[in-house]
Amino acid sequence: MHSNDRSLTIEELAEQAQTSVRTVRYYITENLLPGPGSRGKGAAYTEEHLQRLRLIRRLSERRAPLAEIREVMARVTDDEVRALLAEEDARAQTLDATQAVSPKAYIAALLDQARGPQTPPRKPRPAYAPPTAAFRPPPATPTTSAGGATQASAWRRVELAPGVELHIEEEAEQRYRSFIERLLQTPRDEP
Amino acid sequence: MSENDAQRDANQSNQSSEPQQPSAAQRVSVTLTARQEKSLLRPTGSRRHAVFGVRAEREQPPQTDQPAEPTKPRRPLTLALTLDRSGSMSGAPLRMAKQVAITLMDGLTEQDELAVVIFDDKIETLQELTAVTPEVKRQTRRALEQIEARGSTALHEAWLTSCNMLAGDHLPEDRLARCYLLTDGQANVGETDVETIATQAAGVREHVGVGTSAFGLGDDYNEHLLGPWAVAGGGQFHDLRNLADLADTFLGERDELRAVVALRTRLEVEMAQGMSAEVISAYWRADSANSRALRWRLDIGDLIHGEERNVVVRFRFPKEDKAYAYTVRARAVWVDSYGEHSGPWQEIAYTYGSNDACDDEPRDLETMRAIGLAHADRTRRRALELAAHREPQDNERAQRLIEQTVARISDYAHDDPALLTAIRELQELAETIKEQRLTSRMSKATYFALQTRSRGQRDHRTTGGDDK
Repeated sequence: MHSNDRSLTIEELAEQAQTSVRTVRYYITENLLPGPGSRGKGAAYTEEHLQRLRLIRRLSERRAPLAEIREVMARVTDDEVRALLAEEDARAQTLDATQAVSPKAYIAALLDQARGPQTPPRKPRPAYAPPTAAFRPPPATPTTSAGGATQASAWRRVELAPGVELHIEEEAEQRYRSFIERLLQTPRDEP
Repeated sequence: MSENDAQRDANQSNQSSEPQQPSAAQRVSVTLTARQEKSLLRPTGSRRHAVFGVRAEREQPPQTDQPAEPTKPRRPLTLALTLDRSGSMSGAPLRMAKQVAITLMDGLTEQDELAVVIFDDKIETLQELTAVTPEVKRQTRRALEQIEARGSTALHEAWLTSCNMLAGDHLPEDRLARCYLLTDGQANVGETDVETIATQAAGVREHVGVGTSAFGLGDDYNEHLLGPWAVAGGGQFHDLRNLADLADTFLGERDELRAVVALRTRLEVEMAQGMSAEVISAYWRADSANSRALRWRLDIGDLIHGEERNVVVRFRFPKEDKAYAYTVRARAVWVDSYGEHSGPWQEIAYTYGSNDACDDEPRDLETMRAIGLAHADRTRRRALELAAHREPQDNERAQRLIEQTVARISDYAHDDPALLTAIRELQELAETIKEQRLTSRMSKATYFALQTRSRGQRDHRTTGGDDK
């Protein structure tokens, strides 16, 4: 560590790094930060201490494990500390910007995405096929128009008998009108 | 639900002592215990489980001569009901859903807020988010009564529309906001991909502060969508076998929500370079693809007083030449009326030992029970997902998966009754799949039972149902 003309007390060091004296002492005990140049009440810390302490705080904020921080701090030179600190400061600013998105904006973005032009339909997730599959609409997926946008398909439900339903796409209803009517006239006690 | 039932519910809401509703400002502590399967690692590398127990407790006020602080009112609820009005809900299901929504609303007061969204292939806002005044109750009741069934099921967009109404300009520290999603069918309009929806649900929970609970009604909804949706959304998944379950469960969850003391409880884990981690219990890990992340977190949910959840995690350690010892740290983080808190870090230490020493190290029976049950539950969930494909090769994969899990649990089950029962349940499921006897209802009932056990969730249903 370089020596530096600027000399700080532990209180000044903690204040400038926006942390507590207790935390500084903890970092020294844990060998994350070197001890002061001299001992006792007049113990002096340097600019390098401050830079190192700021880097430890940044790494700690992004929740790097103590062992990892200790390893980093043990191998970096003072110049590397400054470079790393600049990187960490930039990363923290980006993170702050991301987190600054309000809850309303977050949801609005998801809604825009859901309401906007859809991506082509995904491979449908296999749905549970109940035993009465013959009476159900085909696996319902969004239909895709020529332009690639998905469109909702509307289905109507016709009760043929208690416990028996026919689901038919609205567009197909006209075409199969007479067939449906014949089905409806079938004696209800047939299996 | 009859008028009498509604009155009964109103009375219960006024008189209920269990679960006790916390006041708005109450200090809460969440304790974390960390138990490990074994502390020794093989020189060639090992997989080791850990069981993290998270428990929420309301702190007792200190005994002093000072007069007690006046009790503050309960924490207000912010709810959005998202109701399916698609064609398949026509008749009794929609009628019942409307009645339950009205009853639920009647149990709220002016300090609570409510929004109601109905959907088929179109989304309609029946009631914007507003304080539940008597006038709002009258308006909403009238609007609900006029709804009729039609169309198909745009589940995802309807959910987002509801969440949008609950979102504020800032993430409130101490607010209980939840979207209730009721459907009896498959999502068939818009986004339907489970992974995408669950990821969004976890994001909405984290960035908007809105949880999601999913209620599947009948035999035709997709439990493999609603289950992960609610798990990732920090809420609960409910299987409603019949219309009676609908009322019990809606009102049960509302009362439980009022009893929450620790909001947005999460587990934070730190591990060392070279390790990887896999969550076995039914919790959603947003960055599960990055199993080597040195620090990750898991949303445990909103906890009521005295509630304990177990989270089983499997860590993988590399060969001995990478390090001579490893430490895993974990802590609980939660929110109460005084802001966000974190508990002390709990550490689990691992060191390398000879193969003989590893073999000789005893295992704690209770820890192994929790691990075995978590694995059994996960295997049954996965087997049900495979069997739902109704493809012979997937049925075979499901059976093989079960066989492997049974073999592994049998290694340490000894005569533990809970583990022997879990093995028997797995074998029965394998038989059912093999003989192609698995019905939609059985699948839903099993999935729900696993979900409740693995997450320590409550079953609010009071009537017996036919789960065959």
